[in-house]
Amino acid sequence: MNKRQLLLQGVNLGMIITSALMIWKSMVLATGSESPMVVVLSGSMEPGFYRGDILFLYQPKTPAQTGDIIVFNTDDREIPIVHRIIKVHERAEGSPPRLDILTKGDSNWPDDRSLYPRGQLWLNTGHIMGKVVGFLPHIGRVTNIMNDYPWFKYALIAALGVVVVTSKEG
Amino acid sequence: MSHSWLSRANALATFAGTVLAVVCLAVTATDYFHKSQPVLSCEFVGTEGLQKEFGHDRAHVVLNLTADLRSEFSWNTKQLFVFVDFEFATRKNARNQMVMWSANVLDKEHALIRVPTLRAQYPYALTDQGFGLRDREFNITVGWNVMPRVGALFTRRRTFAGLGPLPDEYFQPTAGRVRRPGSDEFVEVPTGGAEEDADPYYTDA
Repeated sequence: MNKRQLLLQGVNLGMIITSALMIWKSMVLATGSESPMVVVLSGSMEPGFYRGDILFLYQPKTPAQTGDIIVFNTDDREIPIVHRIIKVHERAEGSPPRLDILTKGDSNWPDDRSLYPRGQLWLNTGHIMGKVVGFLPHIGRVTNIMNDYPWFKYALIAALGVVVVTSKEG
Repeated sequence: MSHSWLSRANALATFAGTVLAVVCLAVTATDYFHKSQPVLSCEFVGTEGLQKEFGHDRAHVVLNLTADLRSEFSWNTKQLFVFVDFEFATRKNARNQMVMWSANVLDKEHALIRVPTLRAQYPYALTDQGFGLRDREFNITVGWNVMPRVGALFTRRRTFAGLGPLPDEYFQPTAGRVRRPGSDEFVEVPTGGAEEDADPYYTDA
């Protein structure tokens, strides 16, 4: 394995990574959502969505409606939540008019007020990362395994590294 | 090209992934051709109560809903999330829209929905962000979110406009006794009991 082959391998790897990044960023632009694909992490929307399902998001131009399934993040959370809008109050004035939004998971008993930061009663449009428009079952289960068992993630990366280094051709 | 097990596994995985992706796209494309004829009717039975609470009004409304959504089920339909919206406008808010009832319909047999005394289920509540519910006109919109096995989600709605208005004065809620729309008379209606709070369509099976 000489220097030239090593460089070629490096360029190939770089191409794969940058292509993936370009596809992701194009999706961000096309959908208007900062995270156009998400993996369902909890069972609060069962039986519609299970852990490990993949959701496709889109930022619609029309204002939020009840019944929409949205992915939102409140200011103090790391991990966004996928729940359904159950109440909307839209102000008469303002451009665009302010929305007060309340959400609830389909299989949860109460509404989401206990999940919002202390003292916050409503979400608004700024909290919404996107509306769920597409669904793919089970594919995201790999992500769940990697989150629950970090050693699996490192083992996978190590295995991929070995494959890249030992493969003979570009 | 080497014929090692690694390159075979690679080729197999790539082919399987491509085929799966194409099949998923084809499945979701079939949704476009599915025609549905939903049949719905909704009546405003009456108001069980109209309360002034701390900072806001609360209404207790009874509806009579029939929804035949069986034709919405295609082979790619996993479930319908059916919901009933109560909508009104006030001076402060151009749109107030709140779910008052919902059900998960998992199969075609359960998609014929009859709720003769439909009331708000916990935690749904008919409240204003002020005191604007007296004499308020309202619409009822029945929506069903079609959730597929694979592919695009969409929601269809049917609005029943101008069913109101709500009564023009506050009165304490009494279960089983509604004030008929547009009149002062009260009639007895079945209370429905705890079954109305439970989700009759979603089972763990």
